[in-house]
Amino acid sequence: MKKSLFIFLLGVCVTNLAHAQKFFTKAGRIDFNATASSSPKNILAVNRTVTCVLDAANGNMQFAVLIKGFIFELALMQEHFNENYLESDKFPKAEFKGAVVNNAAVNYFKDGAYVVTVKGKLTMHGQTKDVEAPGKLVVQGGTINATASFALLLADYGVSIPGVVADKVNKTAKIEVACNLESLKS
Amino acid sequence: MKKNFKIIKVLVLLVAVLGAWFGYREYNRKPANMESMKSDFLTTTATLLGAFEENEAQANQQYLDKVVEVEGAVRAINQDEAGLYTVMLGNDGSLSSVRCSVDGIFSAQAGDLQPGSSVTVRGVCAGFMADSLLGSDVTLVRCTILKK
Repeated sequence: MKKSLFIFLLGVCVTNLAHAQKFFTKAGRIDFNATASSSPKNILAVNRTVTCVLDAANGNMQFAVLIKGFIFELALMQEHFNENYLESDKFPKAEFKGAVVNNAAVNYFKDGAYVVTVKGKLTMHGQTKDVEAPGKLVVQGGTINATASFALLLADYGVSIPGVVADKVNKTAKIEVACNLESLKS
Repeated sequence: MKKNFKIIKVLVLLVAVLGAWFGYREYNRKPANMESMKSDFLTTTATLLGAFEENEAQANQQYLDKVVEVEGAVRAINQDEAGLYTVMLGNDGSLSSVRCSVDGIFSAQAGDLQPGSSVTVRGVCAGFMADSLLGSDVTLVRCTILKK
């Protein structure tokens, strides 16, 4: 009887511990690509200091980035991105708050690859919009590789492209996310 | 009269060529290489984090977009799938850090770093983020590793 009770309590503890587990990174990567077919150069920026937290218990997921952390190959593009388009002095951060819709299908404690859908609200340039994106979680050895890709319409976030370069910049930016999440020991 | 007209034509052409050359150079200008930049501030991980934690608005005025040279202990080194490095400076006991996004041309230097070692990094301050769960972070971009 005592043994059964002990095993039961141990099971409850292990389950609770597993469900309370959060995963995070502060070095995630987001690619922002607004290259149009008529762009003379790729309009591609990379941010490698993305914060991401994933709560295994409920699938809640948050991302936060500094706009000035996006790096372009060309200095002029980066200046225009910060000063004219994203206005990073006025709106220094972008963030996503949402959840893995099919979280029950993911076993965060067993190695494997899981196709997921992430849904939530993205705030950028002072505007908040609903976003839904397909993604993949690869669980391996206690860490999670999270990737997702989606497109966002720049006009939805109040980002206007001046007429002179209107055909050189894609009105829809492709966003690619890649984060290696490790267990958050609390 | 004809001679004057010829001179004006040559001058206009010269201005056009110079304008095109300047425009081409400006368009293709690369971000500054941090190795050859002069630092606006010399500081430590603790001092830089402390300044932002105490008064973010004031620290932004002081450090944002400036070239900052910061000395601290390497807590972690992350390499992405493209082989590019982000180095975290900070103490083991805290999640707060100075995140240094290393310029791709200095990847080899970052790859040699060891957690726990002391290092000096120079980069451009991109801002500050604070989180009740994950601590606070100052981000430096286009970093180079100066001293190991």
